[in-house]
Amino acid sequence: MPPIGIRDTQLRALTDSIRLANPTAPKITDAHVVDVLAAIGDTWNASADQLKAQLGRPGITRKEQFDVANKGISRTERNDLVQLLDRSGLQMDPGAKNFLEALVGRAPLQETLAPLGFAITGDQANGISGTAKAGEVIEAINLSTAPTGRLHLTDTMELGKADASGKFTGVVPDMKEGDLIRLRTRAADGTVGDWLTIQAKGLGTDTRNAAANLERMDLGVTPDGISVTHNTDRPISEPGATLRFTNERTGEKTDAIATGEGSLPAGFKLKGQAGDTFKVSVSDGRNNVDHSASVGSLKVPGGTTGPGGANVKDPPALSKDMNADGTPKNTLTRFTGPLFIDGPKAEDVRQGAIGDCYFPAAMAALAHFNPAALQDAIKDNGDGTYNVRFYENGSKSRPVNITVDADLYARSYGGPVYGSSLGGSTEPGKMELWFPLMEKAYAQWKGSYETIGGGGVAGKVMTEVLGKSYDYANLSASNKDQMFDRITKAASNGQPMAAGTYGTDQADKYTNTGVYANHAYSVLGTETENGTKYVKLRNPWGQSEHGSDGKNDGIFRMELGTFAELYRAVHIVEK
Amino acid sequence: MAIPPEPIEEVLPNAQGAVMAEVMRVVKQDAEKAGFVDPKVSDANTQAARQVVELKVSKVLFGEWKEGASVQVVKPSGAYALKAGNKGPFLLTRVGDAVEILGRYGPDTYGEPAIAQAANRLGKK
Repeated sequence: MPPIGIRDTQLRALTDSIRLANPTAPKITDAHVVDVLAAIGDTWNASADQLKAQLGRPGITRKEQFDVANKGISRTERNDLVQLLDRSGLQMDPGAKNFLEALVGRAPLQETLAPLGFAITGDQANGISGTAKAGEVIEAINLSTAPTGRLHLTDTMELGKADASGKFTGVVPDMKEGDLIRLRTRAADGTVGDWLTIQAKGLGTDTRNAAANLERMDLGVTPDGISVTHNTDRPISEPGATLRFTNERTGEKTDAIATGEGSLPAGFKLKGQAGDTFKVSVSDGRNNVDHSASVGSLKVPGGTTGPGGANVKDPPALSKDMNADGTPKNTLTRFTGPLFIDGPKAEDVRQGAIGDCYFPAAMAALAHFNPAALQDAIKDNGDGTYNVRFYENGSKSRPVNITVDADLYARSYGGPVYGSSLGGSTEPGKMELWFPLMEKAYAQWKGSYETIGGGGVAGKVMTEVLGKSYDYANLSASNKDQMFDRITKAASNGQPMAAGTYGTDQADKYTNTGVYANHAYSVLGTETENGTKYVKLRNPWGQSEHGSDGKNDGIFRMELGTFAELYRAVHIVEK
Repeated sequence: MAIPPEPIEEVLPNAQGAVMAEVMRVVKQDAEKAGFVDPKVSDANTQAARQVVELKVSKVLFGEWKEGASVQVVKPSGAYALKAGNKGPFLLTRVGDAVEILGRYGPDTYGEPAIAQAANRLGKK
């Protein structure tokens, strides 16, 4: 090791201890820098401990840490840091090196790096490990899956908690090689630190391409081109990914690089006109680099291919949504979006402000197990109307055909009042229509939204779509294993299922469980992990769930014993 | 009825405070309204009875209430019920001399971060 001229005795002792801790590759980490500053800073602070406390204040930013250190440091101390940088022979983490170089005036401070004291170590073959302040909770979000998970950028999962020595380890369940994982710390008082983004390594070959959520993008005609807008609270693609928009009429290709927040660059425009369709492809720079695989298309509203203007009598709204004179409080708005975007999926379904949870729970179960049946049940007539076929009492010999248009009661600030499509835009020209129109047709058939909005039976709805019967199977602690086997078998057969909770007379057993009384859920299947049995469920709200799986999308799994305690029965459609 | 929580922007303007608290005891429980409901039916038009409960405040997100204080509040009849040990964020408002819990599902209506963010947006202190 070359001789070095560090004057501060505490700093010399610290470098010795770092060498002793790892003799083969001694390294100064981000967390060490706080110790370095505390060692040299005891001349301008009352004590090293007080300075450490100041630098470790919950929520402190990297810039604030720098300002604290830069304000007090003397010329002699700067010289010690120069010795440390140039002659100590110690390796340094990028964040540590930048901080020290900024303090001696060699480089600007990179504020995008995490605050000192929060660092990730090693690869992610066995999860994400690192150091933070003792007791801090580490929150994480997978930016590579967030667009299709329809997550907000702040919909983080709890990765773990730093132990007394500041070390933490945790697992992001859906992480794959190359994924971008964004992390931050949360102190006990709720203050959060700056974001730190890493790219997952050590997990094999990077085969997952960047995702893009087209449902959340809206095209519009402006004087200087076609605008592409979206809500920037949620990412539409992975940061750094290249999104390519190809105008199918002109063939012109336009690329956009997703920002660090997964948004399109501000002011991004396309060349085109009303009625144009753009094919969209995306690449993360390692997969789909030739953009041969498309993720879908976006259409500019207007042009000559829009639906006709047919009008069909609409089912009356809920009585609470009517004025005294019998007129609806909410206006009927014509929706012109596609009937399906990549087919019906359980995740499309969102219950609105109407007490018909049994209906969206049934629809999501059908979409999960038998999407073809839904595509068969609802047809676009091409004139602005849609035909929905139900089977009375689940009998195929008694089909009931209902014609509806796409006028839906909508809030003054946008979006349908009752059922809507989840995740994507709820704007009239964009929203996926199959679920709200199935619900509207059901209300039309039964008489009104009021008729269907006072409770019902999920199993019955599934039979009315499929023309089959269903079984209502009571659930209890004594038959839970038998029911687990039955659900497992039904799932493998593709039989749609739903489960109901107990009524409001037992409401107090549900508070704080993430499950709600008097409610219906879609049953999506079963899982067994380390010998423990789970049932997979979906809340038709598309949010609010039992436990914390990092995605507040309404889909969750529940240990079988808890399932048998909180749910009254399972509705299973016959094979 | 188990319908989704109200948009927080519709509820928070009516709240005079938001606290993290635990239910220490149920002071009063109104009688449940009797009536047959087919057990197969979900989202039946029924409501859990009104309650008066005592909350122990562990943290104040905004408003007049104090950390460590005990507050008697009214849980209106609705979709949920409380028992001792339930905890979470409570949105509170004064109705006459009483304090009432807002939000369709009480402490399970919104998470603490969502309340904090919305309060910040709406300038609630």
